[in-house]
Amino acid sequence: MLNLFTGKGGVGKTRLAVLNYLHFQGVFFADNSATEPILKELNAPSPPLCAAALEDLMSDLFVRVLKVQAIADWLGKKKLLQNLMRMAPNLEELLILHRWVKTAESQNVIVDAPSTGTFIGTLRSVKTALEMFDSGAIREMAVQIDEFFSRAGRVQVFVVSLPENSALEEMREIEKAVREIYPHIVIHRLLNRIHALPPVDLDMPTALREFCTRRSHLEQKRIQGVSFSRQFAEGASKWG
Amino acid sequence: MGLAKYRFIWGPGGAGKSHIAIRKTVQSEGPKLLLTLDPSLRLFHLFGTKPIPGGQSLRLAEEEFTLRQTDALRLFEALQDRAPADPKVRHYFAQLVNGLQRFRDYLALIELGDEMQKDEFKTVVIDTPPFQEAKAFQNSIVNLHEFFDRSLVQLGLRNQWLHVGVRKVVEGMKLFTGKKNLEQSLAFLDWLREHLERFQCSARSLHELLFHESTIHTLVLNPESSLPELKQMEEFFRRAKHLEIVINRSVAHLGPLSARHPFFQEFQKLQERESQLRLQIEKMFTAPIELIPLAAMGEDSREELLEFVSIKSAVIQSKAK
Repeated sequence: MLNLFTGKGGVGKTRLAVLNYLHFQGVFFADNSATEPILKELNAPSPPLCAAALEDLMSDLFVRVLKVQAIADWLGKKKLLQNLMRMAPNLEELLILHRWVKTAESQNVIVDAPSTGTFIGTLRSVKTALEMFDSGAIREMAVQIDEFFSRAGRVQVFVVSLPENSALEEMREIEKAVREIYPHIVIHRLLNRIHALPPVDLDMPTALREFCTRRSHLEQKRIQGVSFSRQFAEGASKWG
Repeated sequence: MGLAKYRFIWGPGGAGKSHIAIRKTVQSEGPKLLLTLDPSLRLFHLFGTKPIPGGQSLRLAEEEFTLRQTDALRLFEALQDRAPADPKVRHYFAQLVNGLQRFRDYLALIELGDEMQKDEFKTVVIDTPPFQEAKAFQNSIVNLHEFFDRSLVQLGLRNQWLHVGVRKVVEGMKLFTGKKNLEQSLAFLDWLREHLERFQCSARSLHELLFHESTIHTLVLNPESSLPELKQMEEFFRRAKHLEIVINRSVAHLGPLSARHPFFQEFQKLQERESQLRLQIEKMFTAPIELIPLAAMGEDSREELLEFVSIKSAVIQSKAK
C-alpha cells in the first residue's frame, strides 16, 4: 500500500506521517531535516529514511535501457546526463513516483509528500508523460505508475488540514485534483491542531483566555459541516 | 540596477510569509510593487482576487500598491514578438513550464530581472515559494547566472560545432524519451539559442541585485520552525548583505507560564521552542529580529488582514556568536 501525506504547507504533514509510520511501520520516504525534531520530541528512534537522490533515480531509468546496474549507477552520477535528462518535463517527479510505486509493490510505504501545488503537479506528471513520450524508457515507467495508481486499493492519500480557511480550501483543491486524475484513490481527511476552550475555572492571564476562547470558537465555526476521518489535537503524539 | 529598494520574503510553508509580505509592502514607501514568484495563488486569495496580466492596483490600510505574479507564458509571448517560435516549441515550452519546477523558477527569475530594468517602483517586495520547495529555488537563484554563462546548454548554444555535438547527444536520448519528445527538445534547443543573450543579461542583473547591500532579505519563521531546516538555508542567508528575521506568532509576550495545568502545555512548549529558535538564530546571524505576537488568525478576511498589518511588534538585535 502506498500512503501519501499532503496538504497546505505548515499543516503538520510530517508529524502525522511520522505518527502513521510509528503505528503501522513500513518504508518511510521523508526528508531527514523535517522528521528529526519530531522524532526527538516523541522520543522515537529514527526510522531508516528513503530520501531519493537524483543520481539514484537516474540509475533507475538508465538500467531499464542498459540492463547493467553498475553502468547505470555510473551514468546516473554524470552531471552532463543529469542536465540533459532534466530537459525532459516532469522527469524528476516521474522518477520519484516510480521509486515509491516500485517499493509499494511489496511493502507498506509512507510518504511525507510535497504540499498542494507540487503534489498535484507530481500526480499530473504521469498523465503528461503518457501524452508526451510516445515510446522509450520514460514512457514504460509512466505506464507502470499509471497502472498502479489506477488499481483500486493500492494508494491512499491523507490530506492534512488545519481548522483555518486557507488550509481547508487547499484540502478541497487536492481532493478535486486527485478525484479527477485517479478516481480510485482513497482519500482520508485529517484535521490537525484543533484546540479546546480553556477550562472556566482555570486561572490564566486575561489576554491569553481571550485568545484561546476566540480561537476555539472560530475553529469550530470553520469546520462546521466538514467531516474528517481523524482529528488530532495540538502536539499529538499517537496515531491511534 | 535602478533606484528601487528590493525586499525578498523567505520562509517555510505556513510561517505566514504572504501576510508578512503584505505587511512589509504596506509599511514601505511608494510607489510599490508586491511581486509573487510563488505558483500558489495565496496572495490573491487573501485579497479575494485572481491574477491579472500586468498586475492590479490594490488598497489596504490607506496604502496603494500593485500586486503581480510572474507568468512564464507571458514571457514566452513577449519573446515571440521578436522571433516567432515553431508551434512545437510553444507546446514544449508550455509542458516545461507546467511540469518542471526548475525551469519555472528560472523563468520567474528572468521576469524579475526584467522588472529591475523598468525602474517603475520605489519599493519591490518579492514573495517566494515555501522553503520546502524553495531549496531548489534558492539554488536556481544563485546558479541562474552560471546556468546561462557556463552550463552545457550555453556551451552547446554558443558554439555552432558544440551545438551539433549537443544535438547528437540529445539524439542518443531517443531510447529514453521516444521520437516525439526528441523532436520537440531539439526545436526548443534551437529556440533557446536565439534568446540566449537576453536571458544572460537578466540573469547577470539579478545576481547582482540578490547580494547587493541595498537588498533586504526577510526570513519569516515562527516558534515551530524546524531548526535543521534553518541550518540548510544558512549559507544563503549568510551571503545576504542585509538580513532581517521575523518571528511570526511569537509567544514571548505571554511571559512566564509556570502553571502545571495541561491547558498551558501548548504555550509552554511553544515558548521553549521559540527560545531555542532564538538561540540558534543568535549563533548563526547578525540581524534584527522582529517579534510579531500570536493572534487568532485563519479567517483570511479583509478585517483580519487589516488587524495583522497594524499589530505592534517588538524588535531585538541578534549578533552572531
